[in-house]
Amino acid sequence: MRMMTALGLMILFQSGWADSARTDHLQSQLISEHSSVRAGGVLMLGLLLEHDPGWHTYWKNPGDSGLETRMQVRLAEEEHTVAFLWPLPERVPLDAQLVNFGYKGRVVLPTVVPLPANLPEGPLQIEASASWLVCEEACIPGRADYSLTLTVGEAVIPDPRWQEDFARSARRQPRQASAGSGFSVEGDRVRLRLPRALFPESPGSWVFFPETAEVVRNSGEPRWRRQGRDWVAVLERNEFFTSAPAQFDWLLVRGDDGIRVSADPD
Amino acid sequence: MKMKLIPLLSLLLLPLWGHAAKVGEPAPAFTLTDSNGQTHSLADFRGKTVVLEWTNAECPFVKKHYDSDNMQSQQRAATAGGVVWLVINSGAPGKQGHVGGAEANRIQGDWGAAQTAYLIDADGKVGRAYDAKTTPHMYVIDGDGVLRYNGAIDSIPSADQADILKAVQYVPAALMAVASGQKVDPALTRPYGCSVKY
Repeated sequence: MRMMTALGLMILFQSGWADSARTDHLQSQLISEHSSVRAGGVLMLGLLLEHDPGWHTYWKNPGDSGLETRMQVRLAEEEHTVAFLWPLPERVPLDAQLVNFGYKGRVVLPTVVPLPANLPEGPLQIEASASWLVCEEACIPGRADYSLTLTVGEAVIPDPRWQEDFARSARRQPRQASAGSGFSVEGDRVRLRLPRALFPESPGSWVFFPETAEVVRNSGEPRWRRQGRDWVAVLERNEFFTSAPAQFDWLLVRGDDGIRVSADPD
Repeated sequence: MKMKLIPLLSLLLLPLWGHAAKVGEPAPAFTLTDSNGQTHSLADFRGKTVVLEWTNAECPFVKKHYDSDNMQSQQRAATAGGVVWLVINSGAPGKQGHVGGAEANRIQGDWGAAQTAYLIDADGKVGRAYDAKTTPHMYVIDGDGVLRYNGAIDSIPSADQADILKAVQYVPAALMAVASGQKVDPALTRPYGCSVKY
């Protein structure tokens, strides 16, 4: 093991840290929305993933198999385990009963990192390490290290190379639904409730994604029924359900539009 | 309102639901042929604790636990204590990881595996009955044929061997609890790995 690590480090030093990496079936890159940033501000970083056709990586809730993509960022001698601002995922069904949630094609997983107020003006080195599982039918774990140099200065200057990618990712962020939704676990089922005021028309044409894992079965697709002032659907409980969460988050997605419903226990 | 809706829905959805393999309930019966052509039924092992391990030798998560000797050492410890350890491959013919008996014996032999038998479930019926999701996916059945554990091999979902030592290994813990008449805790976890290639 130690030999392997030493060898890995040697290779790393020889090749140098780059901002992009080519690994099995995936091109990945650490990008920043801005090339110049201000001390005390925030940094909008992104992990740009370009999947080979037919291959995918995973969302926060990967579904019935797979692993969520993770990233660590180091800057100004501080290490951050980043929380991605996950853009709307896609359903990746494996068969009638197993489904995964993830990303295909080109996508940016953005994350916000705070910048210390005492950063000196001049170059700012950012290092990051990401790990993922990339799958078609077969799955291959991947990881890469990245390095990126930005400038700390008076002005915040957008990097024109990545504006479109960040903008697309921003468009595909879920909007938070206002309160008033609920869920209840009744035996082997979970009842979802959504105020009709939120969806004057049936949410039936919206695709459902359970963001909180292990509540409902991943393959479940709600059939909404009108009940008083609510839309109600009953889904099968997740196979690995152990106890009801304090809040059950799910997404309803139609095209680029997505709504996060944070349901309270009914 | 609620009271009216639920019974109606349960009638409508009954055929889709009622999945088998629930912790605390009898484990689904099965009969499968092993890599040496011998048949085994779950009922043959009444009175013994049985571990089921879903496998696919080409899956990186399975490799994580075999290349590190984690799986084999669990197999050795369990079978030395009289536990029956069944490896099951539900990969469909033509899919990644599907093997015949000779290939299965070669793979497990190369790894120095210590299972009781390697069962081939090419039509996936047993995998479906247990709702096996991933490779690996682990189950523990007690001597009365009751399912006592269903889930992940350990507590850290990753493909990195370095995580094994930091993780809680769920199967040995479940086996100890079953052997000493204790409650298995956790009894249900989300398995991680490659999908079963049905």
